[in-house]
Amino acid sequence: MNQQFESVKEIVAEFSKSYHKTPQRLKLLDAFSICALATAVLQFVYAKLVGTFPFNAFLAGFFCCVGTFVLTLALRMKASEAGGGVAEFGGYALAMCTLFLASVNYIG
Amino acid sequence: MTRALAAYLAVALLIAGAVASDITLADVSVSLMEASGSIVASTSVTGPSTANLGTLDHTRTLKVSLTTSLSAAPGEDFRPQQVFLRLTCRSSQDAAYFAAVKAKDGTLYATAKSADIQKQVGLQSGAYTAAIIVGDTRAAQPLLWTLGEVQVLHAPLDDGSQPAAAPYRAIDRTHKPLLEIVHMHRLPERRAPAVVSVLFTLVAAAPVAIYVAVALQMGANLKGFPSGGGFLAAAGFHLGLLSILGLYLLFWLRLTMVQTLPMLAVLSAVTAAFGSTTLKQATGRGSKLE
Repeated sequence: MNQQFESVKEIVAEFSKSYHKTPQRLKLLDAFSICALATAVLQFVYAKLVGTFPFNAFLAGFFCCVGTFVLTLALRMKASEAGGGVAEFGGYALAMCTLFLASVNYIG
Repeated sequence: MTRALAAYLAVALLIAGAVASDITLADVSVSLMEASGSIVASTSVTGPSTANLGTLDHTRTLKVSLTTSLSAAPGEDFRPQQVFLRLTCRSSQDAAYFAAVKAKDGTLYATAKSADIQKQVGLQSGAYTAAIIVGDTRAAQPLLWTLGEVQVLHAPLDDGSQPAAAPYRAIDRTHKPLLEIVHMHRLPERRAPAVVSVLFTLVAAAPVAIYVAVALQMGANLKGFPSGGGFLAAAGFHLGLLSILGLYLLFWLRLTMVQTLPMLAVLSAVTAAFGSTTLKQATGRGSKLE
């Protein structure tokens, strides 16, 4: 048990050491992904605790956040490649605009 | 049916009480006649009354006679389109209607027998309220006069007692009117108190604020924003994206999809043009940096 805990600690330490070297723009994208995911989780918690009324607004908000998370992850994958990410930002902006339009339409 | 009639009666009474009618009644008399034609009791009514009009047993006929005139044309021979004698059972509120006809002398009269009442409301003996209803398209309001109370007695049983209440037709025994359908509004959804909703809105918005704080702490800045030649295109691209988001806000608050899409098409085209230039330049700069 203790050994397992030590190995987990080691993994975390190694991860944070490696992540420290990650370029700043990727860290920003990661932070934004986490932000979108956290918002989705908070909305889900609200729906569980308080209620889903109005349900369409809940779905729109929740899936908008999940969609943002997924799209940002896709952009991060491209951006992590050498020299990539800049040209893909156009596609990312288009996808986000479409996602937001659908979400706003569904909010009602 | 009974309720509807009762409601009609209430409305009609309200109308008759509140608004002066154009129709005027005169020489209203209520008489009870034996089969031989001799008058047992006669009551003269000069206005809505609650007088006791006597007993209408199975051998007698109730006769109401009256003359009508329009206040707008007093001398004219006025023949109202609808004149009815209504007998309403006090206990059940079921009503029997008898249309009035014109006599040779020009007066209107309506007659009712207990057997005729039985055909309309079934066997129901006891107190009935007699009323006269006059309606005509030339009159502003219909007129309703309560004439008084009449005791209706049906043909007695062998022991002299009144038969128990029963519907006239056999079919009425098996087929009762269905219950009135009362419209039920959909119950509103359970909603959280406003304080809870506002609090959760702030909580849900917190990650964005935290993200901005974290980004600033990580040293995010606008130093990489192009200056000189590329500035115009980059500014146009970012302003285009901002205006698209602003348009979405308007779409949410007041615009329709049909109004939004043309504006979105224009903004998208401008943003795409600026974006293409900006991203090309940024790619070039990025490859140079590497």
